[in-house]
Amino acid sequence: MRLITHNMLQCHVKGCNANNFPLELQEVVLEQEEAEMNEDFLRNMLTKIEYDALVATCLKLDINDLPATIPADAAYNDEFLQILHRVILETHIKSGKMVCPNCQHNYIIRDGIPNMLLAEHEV
Amino acid sequence: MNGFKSPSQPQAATTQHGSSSPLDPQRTGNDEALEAAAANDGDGLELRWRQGLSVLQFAPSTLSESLTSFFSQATPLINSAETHKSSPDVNGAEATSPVRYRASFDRGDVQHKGLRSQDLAAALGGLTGDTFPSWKVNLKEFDVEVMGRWIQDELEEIQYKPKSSTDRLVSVSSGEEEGNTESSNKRPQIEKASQQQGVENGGEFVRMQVGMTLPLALSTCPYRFRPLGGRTSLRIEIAYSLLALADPKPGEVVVDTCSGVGTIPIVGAVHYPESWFTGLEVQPCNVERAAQNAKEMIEKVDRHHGQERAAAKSEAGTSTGTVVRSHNTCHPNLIVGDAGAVCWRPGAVDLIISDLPWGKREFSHVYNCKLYPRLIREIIRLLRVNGRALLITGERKLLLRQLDAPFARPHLKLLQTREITIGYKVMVFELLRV
Repeated sequence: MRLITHNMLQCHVKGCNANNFPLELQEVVLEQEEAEMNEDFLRNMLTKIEYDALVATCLKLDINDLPATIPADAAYNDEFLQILHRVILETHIKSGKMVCPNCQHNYIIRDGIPNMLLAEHEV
Repeated sequence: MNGFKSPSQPQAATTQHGSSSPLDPQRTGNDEALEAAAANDGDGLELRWRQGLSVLQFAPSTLSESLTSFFSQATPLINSAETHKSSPDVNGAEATSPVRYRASFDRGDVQHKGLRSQDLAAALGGLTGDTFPSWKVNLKEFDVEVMGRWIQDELEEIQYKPKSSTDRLVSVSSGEEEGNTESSNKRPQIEKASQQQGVENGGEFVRMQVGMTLPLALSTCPYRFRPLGGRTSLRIEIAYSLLALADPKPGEVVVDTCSGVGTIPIVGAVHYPESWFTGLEVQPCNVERAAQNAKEMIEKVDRHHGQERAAAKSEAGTSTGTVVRSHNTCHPNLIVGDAGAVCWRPGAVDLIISDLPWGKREFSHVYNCKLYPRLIREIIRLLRVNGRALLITGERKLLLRQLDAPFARPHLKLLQTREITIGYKVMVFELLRV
């Protein structure tokens, strides 16, 4: 699972409607895998990413490369796009768990695949 | 191989068939059946299926020429594949097994009392046998399947109204469809370019489409590859066509909420590397299969591109440096999750492409009745405004009922429906989030 995916996921337990994003990563094992960079893809992704959540998550994972606020010229800032590419597309979460900051529900990540299934009563 | 046109052929066809029957005596059985059918027809409709079918043989000379040359190249390939598989006693070059073929006919929704589908299939098979004398019929194990089907004419540009009452053989355009017959009881469902001919049927215009499948052994294409299937996995060709219909743009977030063994996200990630695909599937065992499928598919595609690069390198005689993976976002993103309660931020999806559960082999109608309302609610929640959803389902009424429900009507607009054949006639729904 890439960090870009983590940036999209939120808790969906019944009644857990506030403060359910981003999920807190715990006990994670990270892996870097090189991938070809695609500026167009990143530019289009900029508007879809919750940047503050991304930075907060990265800091907890000891990834300190991203600037605290998104640069004004982000779309054409090659250096920034390079960092973004490395963080959201080349960083894979191999295992660990995601904990909802609100209801403390645990979502397990195994072999890079998060299990987001809920028990019957939680839906 | 496809898409060549022969605009001058219809005239040639009619002049040839107007005077005498050019058919071989060896197929009299089929001919009699067809003649009997034509006689039963009565009412002066003069269905000329026999002549119509023989257009295959005579009219499009470009078609038969190119087909013959193609298969003369292809046959050794098929045969070599066959000899590797089945016959250990190879006695040299002469011991090649013939191409095995079968013909089938699908009458679709077109009703006609006088003609039976099996007669048409038999006539089609006879004609194929004449065109390719070395081929042998084998209904169960075949390398090539020749398919004919009737379709109600909707494409006006192909339609050609007969000028006189006797001039009933009308449009012929030609082409060829590439499918595969790797698993013998599946038939190709989408025929793109085919040979068509028309016959007037009680005032309505009905075309016949003839296509030919090709064995997978001939294909060097690495994209039609899925080592692990599920109970009701979508065929890769259909997934590809569905994606082409959806046309994802660079940077779009594409989600399949019922991805099964991952066909749509994997095919999408390979063909649209600039979009971002995610597959959500409720059964963990299917997600494991999808991960395996993705891995093997990507390896195969990489190998293919590596070979291409190596070939280019040896041609150019220069070193192109290290090979970087060409599909940056190629690992599709897989999640175990429920399509009725998706763990995704609202409004963060551009496109939903899904083959929903339908039919008797996947869950049940009762299950779907519970699932679909939740699923449509989630689609509304997930899609951004002006986002689209393309859904395949056999449960048309159920889905239409959801779209008409108060919770969905203000948010989803039905852009189009298309009928496709996946064993049954099912529908693709294209929805727009408003």
